[in-house]
Amino acid sequence: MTHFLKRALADIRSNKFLNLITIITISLSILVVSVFLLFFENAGRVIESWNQGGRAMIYLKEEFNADMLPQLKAKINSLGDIDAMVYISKAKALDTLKKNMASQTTFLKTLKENPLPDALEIKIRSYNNFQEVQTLVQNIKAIDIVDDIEYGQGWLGKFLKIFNLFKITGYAMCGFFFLMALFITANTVRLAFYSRKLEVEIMRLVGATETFIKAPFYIEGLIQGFLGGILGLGALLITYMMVSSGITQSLASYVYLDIQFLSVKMVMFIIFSSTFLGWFGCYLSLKQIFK
Amino acid sequence: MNDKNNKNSIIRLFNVSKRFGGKLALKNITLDIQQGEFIFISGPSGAGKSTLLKILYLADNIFEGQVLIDGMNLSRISSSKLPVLRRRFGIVFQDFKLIPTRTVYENIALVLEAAGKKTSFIKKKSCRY
Ligand SMILES: Nc1ncnc2c1ncn2[C@@H]1O[C@H](COP(=O)(O)OP(=O)(O)O)[C@@H](O)[C@H]1O
Ligand SMILES: [Mg+2]
Repeated sequence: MTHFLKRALADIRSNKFLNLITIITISLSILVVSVFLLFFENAGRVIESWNQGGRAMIYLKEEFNADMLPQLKAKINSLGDIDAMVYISKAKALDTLKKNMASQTTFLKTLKENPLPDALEIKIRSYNNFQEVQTLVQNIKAIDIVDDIEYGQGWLGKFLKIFNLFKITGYAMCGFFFLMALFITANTVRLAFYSRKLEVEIMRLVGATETFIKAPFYIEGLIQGFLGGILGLGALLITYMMVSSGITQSLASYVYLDIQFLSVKMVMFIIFSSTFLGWFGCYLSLKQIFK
Repeated sequence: MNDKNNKNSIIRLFNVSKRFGGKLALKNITLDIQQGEFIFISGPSGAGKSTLLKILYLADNIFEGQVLIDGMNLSRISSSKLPVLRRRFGIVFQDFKLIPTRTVYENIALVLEAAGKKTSFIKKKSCRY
C-alpha cells in the first residue's frame, strides 16, 4: 500500500504542472457545481419559508350566516390539510378595522352598514409541491358560499416556474462541468501512464500483476479528485464568507433571508463525488489503454 | 534442435507461427527443450530469433500453434496466472530495459517490487552485490 502511495506521489511530483492543472480544473468544476447547490439549497429554504406561512383569507358571500359555519368548516377540512381555521365575522372585522384606524373613526362612523364580508382565515399546511396548494385553493374557491380566496398564488407560481427553469439550466451546467473534469482527469492519467510506459512494461515482463501495475494510477486519480474537491469547496467557502455578509447586511431589512453554507452532508457528498470522479477518470483511461 | 523423448521437457512448441500483418516471421516451429539443456538459436538478422523469445517469455501472446512451458499451455493459462509464471524467468533483454531516470538500486528493486516482495527483503537482496 505505501508502495503504491509513494509511486503515485512520485508521479505527481514529476508531473507537477499537469497535476496542478488537473486539480485546478476539478476544483473549478466543483466550485461551479457547489455554487449551484448552495444557491438551490438556500433558495429552496427561503421559498419553503414563504410557502410555510400558507395563510389564506376566504371571503364569504352575503347570504352567509353563522349557522352555516360548521358545515363550511367540515367541507374545507375535507379538501386538504388545514392547520388552523379562524372565523372572522363582518362585525369583528369592522371592530378590528376601527381599532387599527383609530384616527379615522369619524369616517367609519358615517358608514350606515358594514361593507365588510364575513371571512375565514385559514392556515394551509405546507406542501412540498406548489401545484398541490394551487389545486386546494381552486377547490375552496369553487365552494358555493365562497366569494373569493386571497392567497399569494399569482406571483409565487410565476416565480417557481422561473426558478425551475433556472434549476434545469443549473443541472445542465453541472453535467457539463462534471464531464469536463472527468475528461481532464482521464487525460492526465493517460499522460502519466505514457510517461511511465517503460517501467510498466518491465514490471509486467517480470511478473507484476495487473492490480499492482494499475494501483498507483488509481491512487493518483483519487488524490487528484480529493484535492480538487477540497480546493473547490475551500474556494466556495471563502467566496461565501465574503459575499454572504454583504448581501445579508444590505438586504436583510427588506426580505427574510437566511443564507447558510452547504450542510455537512452535502459537503461530504461533494468531496465523495469529486474523489469518485478522479477514480472514474482513471478507470476510463486505463480501460482504454488496456483495451 | 532436440527431438528426443519428452520426459523432462521444460519448453515445447508445436507448429508455432507468427505473423506481422500478412508477413510470416515464424513458420511452423516445433521444438522440445529438456530441463537443464543449454540451447542456442542462431540465424541472420530478421530470422525471427527475437520474435520467438518474446513468445517464450510471454511478452507476445498472439501467435498460432501451441506453446507449453513446464506443462502449462500458454493459450489456455488464465491471465491471472501469467504474472506468477513470469516471475520464474530470468531474462537479459536485448535492449536491457533499464530506466535511465532511476538509480541502479531502483532498477534492481523494481523487479522484486513487481514480484510483491516486502521492502525489507528488497533492501537486503538488492544490496548484496
Ligand atoms: N513489431 C513488429 N512489427 C512488424 N514486424 C516485425 C515486428 N517485430 C519483428 N518483425 C519482423 O519479424 C521478422 C523477425 O524479426 P526478429 O525476430 O526481430 O528477427 P531477429 O531477432 O532474428 O533479428 C523481421 O522480418 C521483422 O521485420
Ligand atoms: Mg533480434
